[in-house]
Amino acid sequence: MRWQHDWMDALQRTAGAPPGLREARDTARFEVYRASFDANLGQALRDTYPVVNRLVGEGFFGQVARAYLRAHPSRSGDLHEYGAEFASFLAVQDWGVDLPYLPDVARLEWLTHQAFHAADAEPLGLAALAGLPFESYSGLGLLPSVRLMHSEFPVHRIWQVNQQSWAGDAAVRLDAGGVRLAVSREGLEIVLLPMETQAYALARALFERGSLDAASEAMTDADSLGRALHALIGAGLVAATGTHRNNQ
Amino acid sequence: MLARRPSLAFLEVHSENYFGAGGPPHHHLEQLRQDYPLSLHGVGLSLGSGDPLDTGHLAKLKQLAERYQPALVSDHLCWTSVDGTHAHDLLPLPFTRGMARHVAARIRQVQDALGRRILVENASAYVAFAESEMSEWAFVNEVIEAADCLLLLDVNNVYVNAVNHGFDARDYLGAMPSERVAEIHLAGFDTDERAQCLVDTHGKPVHEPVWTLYRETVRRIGPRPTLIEWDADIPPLDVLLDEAAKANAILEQIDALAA
Repeated sequence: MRWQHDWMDALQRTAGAPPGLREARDTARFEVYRASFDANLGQALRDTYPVVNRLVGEGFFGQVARAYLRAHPSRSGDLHEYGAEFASFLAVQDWGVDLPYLPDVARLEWLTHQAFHAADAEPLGLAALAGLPFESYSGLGLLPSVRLMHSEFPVHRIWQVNQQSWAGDAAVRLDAGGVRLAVSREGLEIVLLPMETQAYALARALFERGSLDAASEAMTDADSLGRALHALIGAGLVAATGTHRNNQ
Repeated sequence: MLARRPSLAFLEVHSENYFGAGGPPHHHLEQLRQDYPLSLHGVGLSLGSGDPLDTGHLAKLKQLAERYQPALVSDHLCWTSVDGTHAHDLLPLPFTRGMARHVAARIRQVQDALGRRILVENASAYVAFAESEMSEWAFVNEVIEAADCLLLLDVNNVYVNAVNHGFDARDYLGAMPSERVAEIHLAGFDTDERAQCLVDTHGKPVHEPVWTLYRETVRRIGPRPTLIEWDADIPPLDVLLDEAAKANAILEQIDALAA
């Protein structure tokens, strides 16, 4: 159906209607479709990236959203999948704004978006761990909502002070340095947990390989493995059965 | 909604908003499902697209239907995607025999996969196609007969199209087969001054001429589950409940007349 390609092309242009419309007035009326195309997908992006929107302002975000829509159109009938490449899009384009941390903030927001919709699972507590037979340790894995990122910027702090509910000090010291971060969902709430190097390394290995059995070789010795595992469980990031990831 | 649990005949949600595996959306919907029958109203099947039907999308819908056991499952008589690129807008179709066959075959495919009949909703349209060879109501009839599916009759969309394309809404509504109308939608529209047409925005109260058409429709075909669609500039819950109560009062009147 050639005409559907014509329509999609016309929606992505900034003016003009596709061929095949009946009346002269239909050219003006086609603008309603283009306006709603930009508005719907712009709003979807804004809903997923509220902190980026707040940092750059509504008007500028709208411009970036229109450019993103043309560079990375939606490839799913589920609007929640739209916007996955936004962070890398922000990173490769020069937008003339001096916000070097913006792509990392976007990356973090995409991870919180994934965590929000991930499958429910009960975290394993330290007390429950004590009751597990040793053989079951190999099956331990991360909760389905856990996502990980490393940034050169204090993105967790930038995210936090830009939440609508934030009432504390809004200052962020960029020279505070970077962070290794676990994003997770506790009940219905998104939580961001800065992590120590070793615990982060184990979490990364668990994320990539699924279960403790496969991940343990990422650790140098049994002691650091034990400490890192203790930290992850203490932070509520571990599930008894290695629910594997990468599938939201 | 969760705190008040108002008395309502059913709730309707956009299916795709629950395509995620878990989290707050399911947490809330599961609680509401305990107290209300549910209608799953999709916007992403792209029934009129020239692409092959998205079986991944369909599988998620099937899973969702198994989880929530909805009373109704619906999508739109429109297209939303081509070549795997999605516009996320309910785009219009030319009213041709070929298109009616094409959409009907895809509706059948969906019904076979889900193991149930679905409802398709008549869409609003701001432009007309030169190649259309029949009226919209003839097209709708042809599709739902060929697909053996049900109709979600959006009275506001009929009114919007009647004004935009210059036909009598009563010709359209009178041609809808009552035995296939399984649900009715009501909504508000806006007027686009530049494009000089009505736009189905779902951001306003239901307009008076639409209430009149609704009254006439249920008088003719009998009461049907009726939903107020209001998903842009959402007002306080009480405003929505008032609109729903207004529709209920009309349905009860018709019931009383029939008794």
